[in-house]
Amino acid sequence: MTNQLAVDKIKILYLDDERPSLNAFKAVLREQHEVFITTNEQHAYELLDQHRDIRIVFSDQSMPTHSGTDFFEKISHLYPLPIRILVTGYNEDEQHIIDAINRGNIFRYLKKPWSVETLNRIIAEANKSYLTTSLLQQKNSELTEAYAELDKFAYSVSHDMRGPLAGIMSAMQLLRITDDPDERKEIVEIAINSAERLDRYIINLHDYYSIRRGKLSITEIDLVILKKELEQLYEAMANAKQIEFSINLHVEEPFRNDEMAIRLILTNLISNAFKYQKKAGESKYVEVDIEVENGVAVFSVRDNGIGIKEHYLTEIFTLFFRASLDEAGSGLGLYNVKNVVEQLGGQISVASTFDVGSTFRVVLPNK
Amino acid sequence: MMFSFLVIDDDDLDCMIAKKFISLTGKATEISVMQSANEALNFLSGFEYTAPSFSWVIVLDVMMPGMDGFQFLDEFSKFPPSIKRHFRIMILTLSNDPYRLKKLGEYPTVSAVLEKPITLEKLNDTLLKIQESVA
Repeated sequence: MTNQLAVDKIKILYLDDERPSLNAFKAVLREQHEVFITTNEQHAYELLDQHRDIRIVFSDQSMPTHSGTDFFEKISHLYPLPIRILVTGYNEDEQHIIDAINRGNIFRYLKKPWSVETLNRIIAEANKSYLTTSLLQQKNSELTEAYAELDKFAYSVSHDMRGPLAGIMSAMQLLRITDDPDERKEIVEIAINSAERLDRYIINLHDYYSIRRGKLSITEIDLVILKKELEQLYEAMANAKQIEFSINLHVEEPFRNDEMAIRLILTNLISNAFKYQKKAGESKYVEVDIEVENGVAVFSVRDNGIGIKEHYLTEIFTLFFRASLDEAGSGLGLYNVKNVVEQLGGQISVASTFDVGSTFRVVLPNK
Repeated sequence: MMFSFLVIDDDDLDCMIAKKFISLTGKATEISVMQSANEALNFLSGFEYTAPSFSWVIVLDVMMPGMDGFQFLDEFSKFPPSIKRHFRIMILTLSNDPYRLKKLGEYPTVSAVLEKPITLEKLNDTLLKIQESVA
């Protein structure tokens, strides 16, 4: 912290009706800090408005048009963040100082004539107080945001877990009062589907948490092996749904990254490509291109499925957003992908035409 | 008393379950299923009403992507009384959030709220309640 104080150029404003005081102040501090001086109250407001990162405001107490206390009282409402320091004359009335503390909520007062040492000490203390307050504010707003997300999360989680569970409970109820074997079979199918949905949801949820908490571990990834694994993983689905599945590798240099993250990205995008196919489509395909060269890795996942309507394109990476009602989705998958991609310092984009198909493209730096 | 049913739920499994339970009540002359509130509104606005009075029960899910149950209720309330009088709305929801349930109860078009998971007993009770409210 001390080091940072020394290195940082702090923005400081000083309002005083006496030019010589202002000049002396600036002369002492301008090497180390960025100093704004003015004799005009209005101008002081303008400066505060233009430079929102001013950290410390000094003001003389006795000025012809107004007092420092009045000035501080006003800016404590208008610009509450900067630390306020009252500069007083040699024979300042004690009552003025008490007033300034009570109404102007000042941090310190500096008596004229001041020594450079005292001035520097006060600035260092004020800066520390400023940083603590700002940090607290930042943490506070982060916390508020986290709470809001947690609320949304808790609601969605309970809804999305109770949904399939309610399905299973109802299916079991139905089973108890249904005798027809064909119907019973259909009901069991419903229960299995609901259970699978719940399972998928929990896997996604687990991904969500490991992304948020997880540290990345960068290793060299053998893309030839990964390609083989993915082909095996999707072979059954490709055959069952009559979808041509291919992975093309173009690797010019060793690829280093977090293997879990890469798997999460690819399996989510490929699963989506398989899932959002046209029910009665012909020559359906899912194509994956993986290119690694010049320190950049590009993954493209392309399909000729149902596509995404244009007005949904900006929203598909949002938590719990679902663009299609035709397939069961948790609204977590693409959100997770985007989070991981951003953690890896990469970018994800999508090009899609409704009823024609989609291409998701992930660009990652090779670590 | 027999009813025609219109089930509005984005989830195909939930639709299937609702349909099965409704047919088990023995009170359905027909069951239509719509997977979005928009689709249902289109259906309702283009519908020819031949029956003289109330004969339809809408079974409505609340949490749906796109237009949700509340928005559907808002749109539905704009229909003229000549259409509205044919319908009673039964809400089918997972929510046990009292605020939500209270908000649903404030819609004059909502006749009953059924909490998921659906059972035959709950459904029969709810239909009885709707029948009584008509008579």
